[in-house]
Amino acid sequence: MGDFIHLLVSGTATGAIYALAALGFTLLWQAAGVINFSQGEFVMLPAFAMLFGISFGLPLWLAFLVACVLAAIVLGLGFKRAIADRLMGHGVIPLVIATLGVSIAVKSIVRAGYSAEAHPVPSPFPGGVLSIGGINVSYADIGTLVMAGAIVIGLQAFLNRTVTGRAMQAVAQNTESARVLGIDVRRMVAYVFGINAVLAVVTALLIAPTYLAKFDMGDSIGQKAFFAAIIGGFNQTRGALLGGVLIGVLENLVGFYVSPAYKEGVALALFLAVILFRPEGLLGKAEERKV
Amino acid sequence: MTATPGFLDVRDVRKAYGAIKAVDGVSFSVGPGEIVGVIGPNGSGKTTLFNSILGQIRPTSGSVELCGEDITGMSPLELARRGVGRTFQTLQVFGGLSVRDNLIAAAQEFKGTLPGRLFAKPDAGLGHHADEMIELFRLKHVAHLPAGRLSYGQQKLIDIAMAFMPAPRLVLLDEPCAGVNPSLVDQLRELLVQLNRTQGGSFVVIEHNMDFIMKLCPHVICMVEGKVLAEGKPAAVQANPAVLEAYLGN
Repeated sequence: MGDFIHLLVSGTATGAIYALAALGFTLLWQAAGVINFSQGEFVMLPAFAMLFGISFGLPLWLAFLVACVLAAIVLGLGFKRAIADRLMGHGVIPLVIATLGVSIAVKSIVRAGYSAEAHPVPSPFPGGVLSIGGINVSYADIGTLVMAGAIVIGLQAFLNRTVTGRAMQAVAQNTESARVLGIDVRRMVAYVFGINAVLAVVTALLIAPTYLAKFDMGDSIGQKAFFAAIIGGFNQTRGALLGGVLIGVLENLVGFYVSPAYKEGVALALFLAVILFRPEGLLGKAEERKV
Repeated sequence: MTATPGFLDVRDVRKAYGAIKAVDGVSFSVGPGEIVGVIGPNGSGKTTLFNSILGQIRPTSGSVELCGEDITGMSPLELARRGVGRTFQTLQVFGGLSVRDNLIAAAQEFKGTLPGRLFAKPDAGLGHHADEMIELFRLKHVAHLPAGRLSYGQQKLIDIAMAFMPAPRLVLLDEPCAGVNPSLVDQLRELLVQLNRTQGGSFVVIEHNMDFIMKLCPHVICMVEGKVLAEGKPAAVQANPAVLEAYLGN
């Protein structure tokens, strides 16, 4: 029983990290109709940016804040202007191809221009474990859960309880109507790109201490975040959270009770099952699309 | 032509798709506070005319002026900032937001500065006005429900209420009665008359419900095949043999 609860907690913590990246997928899709297949590289780059900051003597928290600002500018607004703005309105396929291209290019540039090695990244949380009733939970897992939970609650509060958040929801739900009512759709979409970039930095902060900063570290997180978003429902932020946590928990349980060899296949199996039997996702809604 | 030109002036607007002339040289004016009806059979170019006036599509030629300012081809956002609103044939409510939040969202961008909006109170100071509109449109019992869960007729009322939330100077209503229970049509007409009286804006209304448009609009334009076939007082347009022929055939 102790093992089970431990697996559940650490799986939820890992799943919360997937959920943060998946949240970016769903926000971009809802507000701008963009699927970003370079989301994994959006996580990898801030990990290196933080390492770079630390190498200049910055404390981790300051390197994180600097990475957030840089990411919002480069991965948020820069990505929007250079790629998304030019391809939005031409359907999903050009954006998918372009973001896959960005993914390959960024990985190659980092590998060739900086390093192909894995680099350790300090954890924002203390080492060690907390024992409660014979169940050991690492401080890293607790910290990850608290931080991811705070980010999700904060984001929901922003979307539901502020004027700008409501305008962003309005744009996501009905862009044309929002435009006619005087809501600055372009500005709201820019905010979403910025939020997605900052979510990627938080994901990097939480995952890099385990995965290490490496040019291809985004492959796995990007893929699982995409699966999580599909499993939960691509048009539902709550769906991204559910999908992420489901994958994290099931990976842990399968890895422990069945075989670690099957762990990496869990997300793919869940993804296939959802695509076959509930393509709109567990919490998603079927969408009408003009063809 | 209406009595007080110079508020909205549509001059020789044309919109062609290849060889098809969807709007073919339409001109008319709307005075301040005036309600003008636009009728015509399906495919006569009414909605294309609306879209040309409202920046959804750019007219092939011609001009649109609001209070003397050329607004031809302006984006819907720029027009909204100038006090121009519209409703669509189809529902355009934000289904996931409550009725009250829909109304607030419809007017909030006109309030305050950017930092102010980022950290403003959730109702943006518009809660009282939204409650008044909810009362006026008899939506109090569903005010806090997500708009997407309500009946088509109720969503249509929300749609119209949203267009009037920012107290626009000009509103273009595209088939406000479409899909509305006939028992609500008179109520809707009374609401529009009341809003016209209290807010003082000008309305242009596309509608197929002749009884509704004849009672609401002192001035009516009939379009056929992209052109203005007849215009004037409702009874005169209704009795015009060319209009009857366009609707009923020979």
